[in-house]
Amino acid sequence: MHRKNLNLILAGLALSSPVALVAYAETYMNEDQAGTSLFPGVQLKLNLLELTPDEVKAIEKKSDERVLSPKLRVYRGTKGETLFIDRVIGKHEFITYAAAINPDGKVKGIEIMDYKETFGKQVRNKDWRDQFAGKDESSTLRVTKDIKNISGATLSSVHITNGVRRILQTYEIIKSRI
Amino acid sequence: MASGEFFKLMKSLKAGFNRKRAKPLLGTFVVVSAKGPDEGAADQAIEKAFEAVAKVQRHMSTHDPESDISRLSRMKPFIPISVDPWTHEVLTLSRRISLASEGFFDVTVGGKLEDLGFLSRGKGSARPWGEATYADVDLLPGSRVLLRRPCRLDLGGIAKGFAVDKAVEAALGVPGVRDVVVNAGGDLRLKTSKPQAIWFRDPFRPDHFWPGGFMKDGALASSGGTESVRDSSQGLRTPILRPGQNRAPKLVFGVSVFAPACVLADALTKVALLAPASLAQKTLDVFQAKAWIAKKDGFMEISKSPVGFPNRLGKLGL
Repeated sequence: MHRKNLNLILAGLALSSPVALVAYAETYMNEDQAGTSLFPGVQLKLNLLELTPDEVKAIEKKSDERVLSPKLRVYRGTKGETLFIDRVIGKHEFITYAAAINPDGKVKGIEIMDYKETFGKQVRNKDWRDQFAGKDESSTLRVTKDIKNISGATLSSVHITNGVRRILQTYEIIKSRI
Repeated sequence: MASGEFFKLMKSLKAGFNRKRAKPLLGTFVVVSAKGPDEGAADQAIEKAFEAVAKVQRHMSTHDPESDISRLSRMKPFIPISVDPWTHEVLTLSRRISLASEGFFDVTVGGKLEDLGFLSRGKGSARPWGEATYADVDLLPGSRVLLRRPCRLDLGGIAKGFAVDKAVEAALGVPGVRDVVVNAGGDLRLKTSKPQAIWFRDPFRPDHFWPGGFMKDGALASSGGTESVRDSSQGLRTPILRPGQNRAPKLVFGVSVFAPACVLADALTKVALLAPASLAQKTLDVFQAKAWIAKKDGFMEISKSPVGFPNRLGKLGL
């Protein structure tokens, strides 16, 4: 069985040439699904909050992480359950994820919502990123959703770990307002 | 029944219900897809898969001071300690791969990696670590392990593949679930009813993908290339070391290994990168695996090219 599969793969490789892509993207869930997955059966209500410049400074100092946007999307349940929708920028990727915080202030779980890869220095360059502001990014970038089951050098989740550290500090600062 | 309706019904039966989720685990992104007869079964399969991965992380992480691996690294020689049966299973398989590869795969490399600054110094590790090898790890009955010399174990080269296998097994344990794909940051295992297209990321140009044909039951893991380079006390280096080597290489070839199980594919990437070609080929044959070496301009089969480190690093663009 395995031998047969390997032969298939070999046939594929002999004829193959690489496909160049500007970006690779995948969507796993939307905000509703993230809420249901992390807080099953809990009614969550969306709060849109904005951090003051002083709050941004305080969070950055305590978490040692830059705040990308002062605008927050925070869902709140009736018993103090909190769900943050957040975004991080990695080595060459954008990641949207949901972080669930229990009423005791501890992380309950994390779900990755969507993931987009882009390459090169452009990702780090603010002007380049600003071109996409207010636009549908998938129409600007050549994004593929057809490539699945990729084996390759390991991607790091360190940026999410750092993002969650920032969210915990954000939670401490804004918990009285939500 | 009109034939159109019949085909529609057949199609819906075949399709089942697909779910896909991703979580940050094992220091990477773990993506699980499952197809079940209904939404609930697919969700349950994915949940079971993530639980299995989290269990492997709990027992085998080098970053968690309470994991089996951290406890072993703090242990004085000749005192047996109990570990989880899964940890024992990984160490047993590691030993088989070490023996087959004459030590080119070795879980005691953790000491060297710590000395070189790839791993943070553990509590109470007041050493440069000694010259321990896999032969100093004794596996005793009853899930116990004894070290003959102080060792810092690192399962970084095998635990991820093991977690992927356990996740697939756990998901397939849910009644009605036949199709599962688990991908832990590029270490991949598929068990599906229909062949799935697979792709390689080019390890020197991460925005390039190579079509890898089709697979429906098997595993694939990749290592090396520019994406494996990390920060160390010697600057940017690759944490893939030859036995007895005191310097980390700047860059190694990329390699992708196909094997019946992901735990084998993961561990054998190191053998394919490090061992002399004939020994690497022999070891791959033992485990029914196949390796592809990735050079800057594409993949080639292991038996047709010299394996190991690039002779002229400059040529590879670093």
